[in-house]
Amino acid sequence: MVKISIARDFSKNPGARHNEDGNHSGEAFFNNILLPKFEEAEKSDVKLEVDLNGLYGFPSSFVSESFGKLSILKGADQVNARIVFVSDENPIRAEKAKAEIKNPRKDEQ
Amino acid sequence: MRRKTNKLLGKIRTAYQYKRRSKKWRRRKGHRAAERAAKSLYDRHLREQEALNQQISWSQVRDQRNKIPKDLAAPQVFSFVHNTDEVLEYWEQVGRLFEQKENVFLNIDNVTQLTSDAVALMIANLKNPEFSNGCFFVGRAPRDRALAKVFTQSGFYKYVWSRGQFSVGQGNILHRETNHKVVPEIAVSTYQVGEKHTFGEALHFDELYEIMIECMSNTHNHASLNTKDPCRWWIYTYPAENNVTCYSFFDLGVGIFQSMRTKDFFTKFLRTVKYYRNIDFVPDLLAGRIQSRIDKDNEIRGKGIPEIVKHSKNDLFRAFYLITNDVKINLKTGEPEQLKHNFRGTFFYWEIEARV
Repeated sequence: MVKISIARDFSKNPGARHNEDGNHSGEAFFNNILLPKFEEAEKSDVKLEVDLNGLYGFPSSFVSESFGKLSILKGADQVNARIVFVSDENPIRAEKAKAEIKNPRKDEQ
Repeated sequence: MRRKTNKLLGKIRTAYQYKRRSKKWRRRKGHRAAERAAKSLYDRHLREQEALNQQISWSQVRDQRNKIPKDLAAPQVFSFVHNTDEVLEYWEQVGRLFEQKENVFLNIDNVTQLTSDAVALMIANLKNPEFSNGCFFVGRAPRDRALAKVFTQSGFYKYVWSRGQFSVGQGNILHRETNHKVVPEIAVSTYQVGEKHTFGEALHFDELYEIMIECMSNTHNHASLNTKDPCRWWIYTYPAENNVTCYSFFDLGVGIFQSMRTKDFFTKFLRTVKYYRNIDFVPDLLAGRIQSRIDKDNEIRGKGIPEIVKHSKNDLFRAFYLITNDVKINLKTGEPEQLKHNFRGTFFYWEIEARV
């Protein structure tokens, strides 16, 4: 299993959508961590575990730009089948990411 | 003869050394150091003003400074959230005087109510060079001791020149973001103030952090119609009584409705002829149906405001308001209110409290 801990591997305080918006953006997370790890998991045909513990919050623009983009790129079913979320501190974070993967576009929500 | 002179000099030196140890001497020297520091701060303030008004000469700045300020008394209830129209009217009057190149005495001596949001708006307006128009302003803290404490401990004096030295109260964070960006570190600092003051323990209050990030992001992307000059935002965290923490987050951009892009020609026309008022678009705004001016990723954008609205319903938020242009919205209830005066900007205000 391939693992990502957002707090450990990226930041405890995720930011907004794009790099030009400021630090710790969803775009940076997507390009530097999420997409490479997802492809690594795909290649090895194993699950990708995303640990959402240790965060101050999980802003929707961050989620949209990372998990939403991944869903648009790879397909919601593919992503849902591959990713396992760990969110003991606050289960809402995992629900939020799953909802974003299911409906990444604004009009669908 | 020489011996006598040395003896005399020795006496003078001893007397001087003795004086140097006295409280009076130290106090006087201390005052002089403080005066020098204040003068240098004041000079810097003048230089800043001068830089802002490069088109006018130093003598004009001096003449402007020497004008007697016009006294303008603030509304007794000096609270932007609870007395929005009167406060907006007050700032309109101040703005008109600045436009006429008058200096202003911002008289808040006799206010009976002063809230953190009004203090934050005051400093933001005064530090806005477009608003102050190269004019000078004076003022002092309210007479009421409790209100004076709110005012002096806010951090207001960090941004203005003052003879007095005022320390910022514990937990008060008054921050102006000059890089115009989303700064998660500031969101964390202000989050921690609320967490410590209101709850007294670490908890996972994601909504509070997420609201701040969405507010910053919203300002960064939408506050200014000119994309080359995104406006700056302010945040003020004030730990109030009864473990309530008050947050004010705002920008002095153009306001949400002013920056809104109307989708179809017919609606645009009806807005122009004032058939549609801004308040009519509130449901669309709260549901995230207002189209963003940012073209990039438009299909997945527009989730910020709905997220703020959704989070505002959380019981830990005691109050939650959004004031933009001529509309004030109570986000807890969803009720909009038509304002008589226009606010150029977007102001979010919320309070958190612990529920037993």
